[in-house]
Amino acid sequence: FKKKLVKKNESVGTETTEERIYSFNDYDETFVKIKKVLWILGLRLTRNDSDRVKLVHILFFIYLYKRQQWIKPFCMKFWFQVFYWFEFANLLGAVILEIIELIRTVTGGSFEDIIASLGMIPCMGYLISAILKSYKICYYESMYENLINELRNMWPQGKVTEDEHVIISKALKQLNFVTTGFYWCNYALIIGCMLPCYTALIQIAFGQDVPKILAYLYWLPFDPLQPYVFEVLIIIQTWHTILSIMGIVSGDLLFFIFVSHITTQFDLMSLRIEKLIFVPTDQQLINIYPLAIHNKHKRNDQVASTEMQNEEIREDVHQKELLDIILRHRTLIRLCADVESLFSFSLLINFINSSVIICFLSFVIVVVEKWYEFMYKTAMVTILSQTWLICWFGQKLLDSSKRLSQALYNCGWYTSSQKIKKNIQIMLFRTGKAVGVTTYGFTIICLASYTTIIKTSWSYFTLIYNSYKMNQK
Amino acid sequence: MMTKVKTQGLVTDLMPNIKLMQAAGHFLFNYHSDNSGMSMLLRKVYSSVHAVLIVVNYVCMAINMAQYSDEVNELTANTITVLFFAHSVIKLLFFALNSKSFYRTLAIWNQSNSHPLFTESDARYHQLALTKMRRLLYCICGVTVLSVASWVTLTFFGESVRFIANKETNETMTEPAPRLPLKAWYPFNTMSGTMYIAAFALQIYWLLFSMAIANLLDVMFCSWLIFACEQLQHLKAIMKPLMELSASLDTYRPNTAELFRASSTEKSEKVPDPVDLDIRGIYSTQQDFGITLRGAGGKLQTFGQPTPNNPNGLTQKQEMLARSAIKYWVERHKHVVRLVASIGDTYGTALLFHMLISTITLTLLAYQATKIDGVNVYAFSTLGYLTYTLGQVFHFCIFGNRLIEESSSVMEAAYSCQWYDGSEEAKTFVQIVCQQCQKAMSISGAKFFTVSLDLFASVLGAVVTYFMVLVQLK
Repeated sequence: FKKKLVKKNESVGTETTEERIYSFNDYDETFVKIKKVLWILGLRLTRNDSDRVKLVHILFFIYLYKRQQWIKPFCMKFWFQVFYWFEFANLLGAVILEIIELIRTVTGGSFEDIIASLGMIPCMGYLISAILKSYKICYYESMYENLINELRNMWPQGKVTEDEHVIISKALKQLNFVTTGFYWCNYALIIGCMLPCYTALIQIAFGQDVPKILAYLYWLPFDPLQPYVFEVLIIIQTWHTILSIMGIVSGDLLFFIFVSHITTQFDLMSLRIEKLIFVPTDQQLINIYPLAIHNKHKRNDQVASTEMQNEEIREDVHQKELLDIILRHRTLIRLCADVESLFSFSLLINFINSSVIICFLSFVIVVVEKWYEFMYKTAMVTILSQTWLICWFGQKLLDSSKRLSQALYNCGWYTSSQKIKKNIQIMLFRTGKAVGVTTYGFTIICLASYTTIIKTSWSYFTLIYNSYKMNQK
Repeated sequence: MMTKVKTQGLVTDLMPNIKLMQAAGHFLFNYHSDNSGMSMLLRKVYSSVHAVLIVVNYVCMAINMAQYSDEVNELTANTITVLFFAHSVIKLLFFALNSKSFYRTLAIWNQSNSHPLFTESDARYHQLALTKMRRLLYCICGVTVLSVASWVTLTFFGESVRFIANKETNETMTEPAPRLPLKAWYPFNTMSGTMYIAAFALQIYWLLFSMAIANLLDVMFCSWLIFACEQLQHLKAIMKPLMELSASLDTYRPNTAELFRASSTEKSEKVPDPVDLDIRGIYSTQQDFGITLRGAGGKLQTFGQPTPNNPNGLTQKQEMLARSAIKYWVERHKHVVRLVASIGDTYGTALLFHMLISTITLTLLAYQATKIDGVNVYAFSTLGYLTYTLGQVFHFCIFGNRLIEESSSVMEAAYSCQWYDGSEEAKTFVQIVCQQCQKAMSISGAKFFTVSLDLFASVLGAVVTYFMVLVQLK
């Protein structure tokens, strides 16, 4: 409500340039969805709880007070921790149960049973991924908070120039599109997973004689198809599905958001570097060249013209600006290293999972599932697009850090003093090496690694399919 | 009435290519002198008619392929033909959808910077580029016409049959088919008579135009690369005089006047006698006397008195020329980088499609090649397809490779000039340039592969491997 009021005031004052004013609100808005997801998982991203959470806290405290129980006030953090570990135990339990069931069918069951249980391997992969991702968020909470705050401080405030606006708005649009799409697609996946079970339940309730289906094959010491046990089990399995998928969503969304913001900052820095040094236009720098266009605004500036004449002042101005840029560049590199340390292991497991899961999913789709069933097809599309999104964001980061070296060459370094030239040169050295995220040191995340994953999955799939075909004969 | 359209830059250089593309039916509607509504409409109708004819005939060929897909040999042969001409259809569509990008790349070099001392070198390399581009165009046009002619000639040799599988006995039989260059399904009977001649004429037209469409676009891409390479050659060539100019600013050098000779069109300057060079060297700065400074105002002309800051006694104008040489070099280099980036953005996806289709075609051709059993029509046609496809890939790989080599040899040129005698400014310039030019500029097929001779070698290697393996399996 408050935000809407503020926006209204702004639009009254500055009509044409309203879209070019940015504030921390734009930055915080990108985190809204992820906070919702994390709340379900029992994780807090920042120590500032939303108003709703604070309200719950206060109510709970009042309740305790009324019961005359002077329990030491457990802060929200404690309850969140309890909640999280409960969910963690849930997921771990699910994994263990599925593994036991799988081992049982592989050793004891027939070939058809094995094929049916192969459908469980994607689920297990999902669960393990979810556990890893959510665990990282829980364990390294302070690091995440630091990342968010530092990126927040770098966010442009107030009016920005036209080119900066183009960069920021494009990045925000892409990020919003991806976040929203990803979020809702995963909800669709949850529904798709649980739909067969619930349809069967509804059909039984209407008296039709349909076999009861459980979404996942757990090893249970009792018969799962007993009347009340079955319903409870379905609910527990729904809860597990939500947990595992939300876990993956949380990890991935955080990665996308961080990488997107770092990429935006790199692009803004490229722009800043290109505008750093003023170079006059003449026969050698004709006015349609980009450097001349960048410097157009400076030509009318009185300060710039006085600056031009005095070499020392000019050098000082450039040096100060360059120092600022260098410090920010170092900060961004450090933040990238943070992102790497937070995400690289889970992304490695994610990539291994993806190759294995894509292979098994394609096998299951081709062999087991009927053409009108959509559970595994949806899962296939989700995992293909999830892996592609990760690789695409990684590629964007690589490209934006490479553009820095181009921007450094494009600025008018040849008219600056020796000192500035040497500084720019050392920066050129560093920007020559692109900054990216690796999968625990194995491969760098980019579109080329996506094709490697697809190729690997394809070769696994053909192998399994051919052995299945031979077995059939 | 038709006034010559005023074009500049790349468009002027590539005008014959552009005209040929317009004649072949590409959707290229710019660069005409007469832009009235009527003629634009006529041109659009012309291109659309060509497009429709090409696509319709292509679809007929595809129908024929689907019709006779029972027999393996027939299917393989028809698939190869269909894939072979997929290039034309894709390139026609690609240009129609992407024409803005093409116009943008053609317009990049409309205006370029200049420097009085380097205009001659610029013009020389521009002329070189122009010659090479024309030669390439003639060569490719010749090859296209030759291919069409040999295709039509080959039609008249051998038996004109098609293979079908006998369903009962499962062996292949032959059935007579019309003696046409391409096997296609037509709604009318083309075995003989006027319909046969009509179909033949249509197919000759179709062969010529579809090959021209594909090849002319490739020629445009390669011409762009030739232009970029010659610009890089120009930059390498002026590196040496640039170093000397820069050195003359703060180190005493004999014969500095010669460096400024290119700008002597406005001034009268005497060339120093080569015999007396050693003695004259000391006095060579006296040549500068002949240069009058326009608008010097009240500034006292030093008449070439060497000062600590100006050991060669350069006039202010010459000093400005020397200082702006580096500016010219760097801005020109950045312009070339922008051109190459634009070329990559424009044509990268087309290259990706080309490579995908060529890979499949070459795999099938390797299989076909194992069935060659003598010097007959089959052998000639298979070898013809093979050479043509490999030739197309080689065509753009070699120019892509040249670009990579030229751009990375700039560093060599920078190192091999006398940078050690140069000023601090020159040395820093060489440092930054060497570092930036270590990474070669290359064209990538939508980031999947780089266009270079490595690519061609891997394609050729793959074909040979398949061929060997298949021959062994037989």
